[in-house]
Amino acid sequence: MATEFEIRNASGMSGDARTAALNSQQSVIVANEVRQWVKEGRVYQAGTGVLTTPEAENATALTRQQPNFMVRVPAGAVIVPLLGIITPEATGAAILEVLISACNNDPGVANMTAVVPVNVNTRFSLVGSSVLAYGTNAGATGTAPTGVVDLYRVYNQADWDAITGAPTPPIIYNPRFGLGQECVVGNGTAVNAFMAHFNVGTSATFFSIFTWAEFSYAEYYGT
Amino acid sequence: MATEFELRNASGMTNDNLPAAVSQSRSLIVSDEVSQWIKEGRVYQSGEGALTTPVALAPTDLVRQSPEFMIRVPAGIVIIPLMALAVLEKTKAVLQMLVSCCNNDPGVTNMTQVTPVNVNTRFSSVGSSCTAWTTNAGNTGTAPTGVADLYREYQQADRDAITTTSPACQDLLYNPRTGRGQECVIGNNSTVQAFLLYVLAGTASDSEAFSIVTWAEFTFAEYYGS
Repeated sequence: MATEFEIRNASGMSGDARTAALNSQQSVIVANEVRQWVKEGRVYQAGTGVLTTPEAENATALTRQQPNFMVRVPAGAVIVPLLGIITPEATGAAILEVLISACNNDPGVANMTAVVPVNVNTRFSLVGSSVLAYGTNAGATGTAPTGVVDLYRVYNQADWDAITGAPTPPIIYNPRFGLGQECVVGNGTAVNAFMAHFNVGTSATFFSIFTWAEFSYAEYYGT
Repeated sequence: MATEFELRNASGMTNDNLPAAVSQSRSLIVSDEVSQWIKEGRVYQSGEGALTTPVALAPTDLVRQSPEFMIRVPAGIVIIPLMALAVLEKTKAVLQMLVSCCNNDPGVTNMTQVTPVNVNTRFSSVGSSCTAWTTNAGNTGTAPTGVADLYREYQQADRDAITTTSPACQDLLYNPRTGRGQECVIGNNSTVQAFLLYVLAGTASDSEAFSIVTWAEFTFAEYYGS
């Protein structure tokens, strides 16, 4: 007799019990969990810079209270950051630094500009994110991040845009592929945040793309 | 008594219940979902440039309405882009690549249609449910909306002037299954939506490239079960 499992879709567990699929060699077919999150409309994208205009970055050295991009996760929401692509355009000088981190408090939003996240499943393009994303840092956000956990870091001596004798691929945070540590950001009672810092010695301009999966606290932890 | 699962093939679920295979050392054998999609004939390839002739890249800078390559996904169809590979032959600095998706129909003005081919040779003669467009020569007609950006590169170097690096330059690659970019889903049951690939380098029509793009496709009902 076949064993049945319960289908989960964008509305959650469906109560619809079905057999799992095998291929014709009778191997079990495994679906990637992140692919299922995309299917369920849980994955959003935001970033800095527009199509042809990179963002001028304010900080010249890493400052905890000056992330260049931030996802502010309200109480009752949880996110799993999936991807960060940081693409420098003009770098005024050496040194290029990137730091990805998370904190357990609300850093504030002073000197930041809100950007609107977009769902990466076009069926859900019109469904808004439950978190707030911010770019365009112009100074301290207001409150020092606490409980900070660092997830990925790059330090490059070279003046990036002066490298003309070799390709300069983007800097990628992607913990499911070994580029950084996966984390979970959010709890049931307070604002938490995901932060990306990227800057270069003096003036610099960057594009960036960030994606994350989002859940209610109850969906993620079952309580 | 063995636990049974249900066989799925190119025709869908078969109602044929069978035990899952284990190895001699009783490990459960797991098949990758994308490999199964290929087996089921769901994965198509298209791109630009012919065997020995790359296409000239017309735009000098990124323009949302001027993708270099586009997959137009009709209502009722859903695709998951798997890979976009751009190989530069001749370049000028600066090099840019952007991969994105949108929730409307950008139109097909100034584009040339190309025919996707199944990557499973058994299904080579089975046509794609989508249309693929290439060789951009200007705006497509309608600005993309609900845009999500999935991958981006910006490189100062004039690629074909790099003659001292060994091995050869890595290709520009969107491949979310290997960590290069965000996987997405494109398509709904009522409107046209699209996948957009932009590749350009420096001076108008003075850079040339080949590209290979692949995706898996489903009907809306197959994918979402409704």
